[in-house]
Amino acid sequence: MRKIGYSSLLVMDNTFTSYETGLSLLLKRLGHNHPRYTEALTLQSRLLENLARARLYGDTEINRAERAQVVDALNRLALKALGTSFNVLIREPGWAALEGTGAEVHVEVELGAVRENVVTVAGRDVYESVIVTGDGEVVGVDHRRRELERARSAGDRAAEGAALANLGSAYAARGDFHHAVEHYEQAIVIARELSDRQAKAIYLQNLGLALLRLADAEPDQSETHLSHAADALRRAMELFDALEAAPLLRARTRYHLGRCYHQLGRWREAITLLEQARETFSRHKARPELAHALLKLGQLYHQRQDFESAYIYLKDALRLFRRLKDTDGIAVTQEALGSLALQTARPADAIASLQEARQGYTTLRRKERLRAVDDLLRIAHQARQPIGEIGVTP
Amino acid sequence: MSSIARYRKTLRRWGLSDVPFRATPPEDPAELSRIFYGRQRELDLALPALYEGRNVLVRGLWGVDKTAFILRLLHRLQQETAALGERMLILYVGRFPGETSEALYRALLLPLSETLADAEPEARRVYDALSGLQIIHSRQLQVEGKVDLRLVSIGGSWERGREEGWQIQNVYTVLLRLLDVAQERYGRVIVAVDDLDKKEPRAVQDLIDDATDLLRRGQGKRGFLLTGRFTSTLQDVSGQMLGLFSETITLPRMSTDELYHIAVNYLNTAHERPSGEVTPFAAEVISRIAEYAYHIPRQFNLICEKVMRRGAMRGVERIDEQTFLTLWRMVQDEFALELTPDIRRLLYVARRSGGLSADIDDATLEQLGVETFVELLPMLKSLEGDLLIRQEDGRLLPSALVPDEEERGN
Repeated sequence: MRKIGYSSLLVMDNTFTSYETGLSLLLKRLGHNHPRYTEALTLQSRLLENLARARLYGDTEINRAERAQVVDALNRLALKALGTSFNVLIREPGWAALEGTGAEVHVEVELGAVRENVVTVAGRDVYESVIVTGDGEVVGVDHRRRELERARSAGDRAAEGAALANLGSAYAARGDFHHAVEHYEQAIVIARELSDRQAKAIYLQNLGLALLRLADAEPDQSETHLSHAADALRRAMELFDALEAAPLLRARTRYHLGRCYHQLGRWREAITLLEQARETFSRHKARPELAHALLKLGQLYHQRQDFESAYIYLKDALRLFRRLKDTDGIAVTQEALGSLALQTARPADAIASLQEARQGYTTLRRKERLRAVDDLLRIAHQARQPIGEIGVTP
Repeated sequence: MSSIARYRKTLRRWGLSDVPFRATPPEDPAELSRIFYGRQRELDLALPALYEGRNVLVRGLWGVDKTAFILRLLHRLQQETAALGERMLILYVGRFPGETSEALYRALLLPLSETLADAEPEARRVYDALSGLQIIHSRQLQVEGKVDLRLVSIGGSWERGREEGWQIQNVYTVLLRLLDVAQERYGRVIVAVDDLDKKEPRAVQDLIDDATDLLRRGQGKRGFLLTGRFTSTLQDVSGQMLGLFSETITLPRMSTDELYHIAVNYLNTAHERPSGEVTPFAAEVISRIAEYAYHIPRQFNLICEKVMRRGAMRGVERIDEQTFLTLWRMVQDEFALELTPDIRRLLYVARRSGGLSADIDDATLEQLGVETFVELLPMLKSLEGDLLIRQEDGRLLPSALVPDEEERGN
């Protein structure tokens, strides 16, 4: 449990809500038949994923940088297609209902588990789930469900598919991954029926991501979920490749599939995909994604006992996270570097890295990581002591 | 007088038939034994292990003469086993195409099937198929008593064989079968695979993982000698590798004294009257070259060759310190002319920053126009060797052959 200043959360969430409502408006104005509708869907999916991450784990510099990229792309798309920018859309009357409120309320928040504390803000009920996990009450499940009903009564299969996928995203943002998976699967069926390969690829990617998160949430079912995630992401990747989708989109799919293979122990395939993703992120100067790909590769090489490569990749990841001022990224990378230094008999380096990791986790209040780092620090300090002092019998 | 006439006249005056130094050592064991010097401790460690059919890993910096060491070791093994009246088959595979375990198995099949082709129909079929590949390979068959030493280097590509319809089903099974046949005939089979360190390290790690079964089988009757890249502390502790080898031999750089003896040996191969001198070099010049070469034999031989050739062209009497400096500057200038501006910049930055490694700072990366060290890896890999010399702590420093432009400016 940790206390979060409600005012800052509220400001953050109001902005996020504006983004979500702006997205809905953009899609609505574009219409399903617009040639750039699918592109907008892709950007929507990225932005929603980003917002969900920020709400769940707190906003980071990396998140903000990625969000700025997506919003920039949305601005360009909206200007070209509608003659107005996305930023203007999110400020249209009626969409930013909560702006300007700043009631100082503290709520109890436990990461990953939503409690049903209710607070009243600006004359309406806002559940904690809104603050922590997403848009449940504003552009949440109910809203999406109504969208779906409208699409169904209009007999518009494409709109129904998009609404199902949106509903899936709303569930995913709430942490209800089972329902998210169910709805993405239905959206995929419709995309297949309409032979809409772009939409299918996007829904498959969303499905893969939801399954990846489900694997985290249900460790006992992890392997099954990961296998399904790998299948969905692989199909998404093949479709994106066949459609010659934007390089960054293809690289992101590779990154997620690489992550998935890593967890499944398919290390060689994971390395190949992550290296491909890394090259694209590097070429396109997508720094946040590049930092994460380098970190993941560093961890993989470490597991494969290729310590030299692990060190090179982790040092680069650290370099980028520092530039991005990403406390979480720095802490995770320093923990990996500390563990690597311990394994390669460099306790002094291990202590320096682990101490910085500890500092970062303390700031982020990540207690479970703090415990792990403290264990490693204990081992590192013991390793620095002369053998006689730690009681080893000669 | 023509340039070549002057060149030859100088060589004659020095009592030499030609400039004998070569960056890479000769493959012929007899020729190599005339040049080889030192490494006695390492030979003493490796010889009994290989004789007993155990696996040995030979590691060392690029250019430290791992190939010369392995060839010398195999030649000694052949001579000493033959002297005991025992049988043994020794195979040496240098370069081979591909980076997978299957590529390695195919490469091993070539000398093995050639050895057994006369008596074993399956070996004959495999050898015929491999010969049909038209792969360029150099090989020498050395028979001494009952011990065969067969050396092979394979160029080209396995892909070409596939295009031509050549295929061997279950390569690994065939290899194991033929190894068993060879073991029956010779008692012991020793297989040396060189140049693995020149392949992509990650691919080699996969290859070793895949070939673990092969490396573990037949211990005592079948020994493998593999080469590893120079390993920093980070790679020294690779458990996977260490579990497979009875002896891990790291070849250190050579001392000035050892390099002096190598220079004597090289010069004696071209001297009319062999001596213990390094004529036309002055002894202190050899020390200086050893230092410039970071005590790495390949760099040392390369510098000796280039300096000596320029000295012969200019008709110098003797390469003393003064003459050396003039010749050295010529060599460096000519060397620099061959470098592209990008490479010159990288080497310049590498020198100024005290070497390139994963611990590089942001300002240096910015100077090189990249955001991450990983982006530099392909270029660094292509330059490692003659242009960039890896140090024990992992840093890559420019070769002394690359002129220090700043120092020149001063």
